[in-house]
Amino acid sequence: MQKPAPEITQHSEPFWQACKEGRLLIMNCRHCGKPFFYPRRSCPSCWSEEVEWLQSKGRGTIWTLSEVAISLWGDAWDDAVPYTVAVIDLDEGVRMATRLVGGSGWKIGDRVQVTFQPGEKDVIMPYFTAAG
Amino acid sequence: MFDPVIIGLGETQVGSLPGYTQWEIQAEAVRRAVRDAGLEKGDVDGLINSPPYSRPHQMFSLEMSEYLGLQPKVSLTMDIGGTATVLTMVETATLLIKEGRCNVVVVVFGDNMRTGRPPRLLGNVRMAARRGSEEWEEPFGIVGMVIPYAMMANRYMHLYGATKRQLGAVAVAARNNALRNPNAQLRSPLTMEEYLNAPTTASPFGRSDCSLVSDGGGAIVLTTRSYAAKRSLKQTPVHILGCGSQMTHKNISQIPPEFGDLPLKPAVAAAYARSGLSVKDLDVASVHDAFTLSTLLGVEALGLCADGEGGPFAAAGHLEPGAAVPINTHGGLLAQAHVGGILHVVEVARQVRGDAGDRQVPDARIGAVLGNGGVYSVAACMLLARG
Repeated sequence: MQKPAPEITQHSEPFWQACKEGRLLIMNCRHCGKPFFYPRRSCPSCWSEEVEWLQSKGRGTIWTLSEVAISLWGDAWDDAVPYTVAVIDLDEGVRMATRLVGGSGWKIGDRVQVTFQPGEKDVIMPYFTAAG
Repeated sequence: MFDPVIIGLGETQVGSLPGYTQWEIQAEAVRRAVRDAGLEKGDVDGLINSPPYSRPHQMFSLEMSEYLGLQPKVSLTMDIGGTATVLTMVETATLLIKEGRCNVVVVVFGDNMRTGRPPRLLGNVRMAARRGSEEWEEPFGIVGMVIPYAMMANRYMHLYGATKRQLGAVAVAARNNALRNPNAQLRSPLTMEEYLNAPTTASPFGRSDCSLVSDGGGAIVLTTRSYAAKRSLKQTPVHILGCGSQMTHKNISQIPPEFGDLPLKPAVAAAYARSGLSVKDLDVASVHDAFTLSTLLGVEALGLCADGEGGPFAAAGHLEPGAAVPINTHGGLLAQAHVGGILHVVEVARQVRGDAGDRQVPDARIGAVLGNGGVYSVAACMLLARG
């Protein structure tokens, strides 16, 4: 089995284009001022459609994580295990799921920053690594 | 007059049922439940089912009704999430009955996740419900259900100081409960040493932290108290005293800020409020246990122990057979079978009507069922009592 590539929509395409340029985008609501993630065409707080992309500083804190020891999707991750996945609270106040790379011994509460690496099908993935 | 009661329970063999399709398993559960009630096929005028996880279907209740030769007034397929689905199906049946829309409603779920998945999906449990995860989780390696729940377990252990040994107490107790259930997939004890020495799948979980992949089904027949009085029914009716439910999110990246914000407690609070009952009234309970962590959150949400105290509660033996409020007396999703949680309802109904055989909880009159779906995304609770 293949690892899955993100199923990108017309609306989310700028997010993935920005990853190719080394920038992490989240969304901001111009009506209520609340940032949100994942990207949507309307604000999940106030339903305004006046939403815009906002460049994240790419820094955050590990809310939780797990070290995955075996491939749990057929054999797709056999060549990647063990790998560590995490939920990160970005400093802008939104939560995102990601993978931790370039280190080990991660703990909840560790500070991390975004780093960009190739994923499947020429997509550049926003992973996280120890904050510098 | 339109007071809804559970009058029939059906449970198929669980484990591996090779050669049986999803609809054949559901049909068998329905036939068993209607026979258990002492009713006949022609009495059924409502059918509510849940679609199989193994092969997503459309119009599944029509397929099911047609297969059984039923022409019900109401034929519904419902899908909310996990064990919450089943509880909401039963609650919906009570609403149809209270409105006078149906006299006899059968609620059924059955699936063949163990032997019936298409070959490309074997070797893992992959959900058809993917919106949000196909772009923002799966490509990062957060695939299936084990990994999100493992992440929640690590957060829980971090917040409350829970230990691997405390999670193990849940797994060991589930297996001990299943020893008393002749229809359980795992009928051998698990020692704490075996649990602790098992390889990790996704930290902190090993295999015994995760529920079984099962074939099997269950069904529940509901009617009104007056209809039950008119017919010579075989079983003691079980009353539904109160239901509650709450949804918060779907994907783990959208989870509310902290454990105290999850939907389990609001669902329980609503069910207690609607029934006028409290935790002190419970004689028996079933809680969602697709993962060991869930049992801890379940007993906390029911109020059997304080928030964050589920680990010490489990380690003290309060989940073992013979506890003050026995939990998952059938072995649950961890040790009996993962049949979507329908057997959680069947078991508590069986306990409160006094029909649970060797594992009968003495004088059990009131029981709770607490369900969860997604990643603590939606919860539902139901309180049942002997008629």
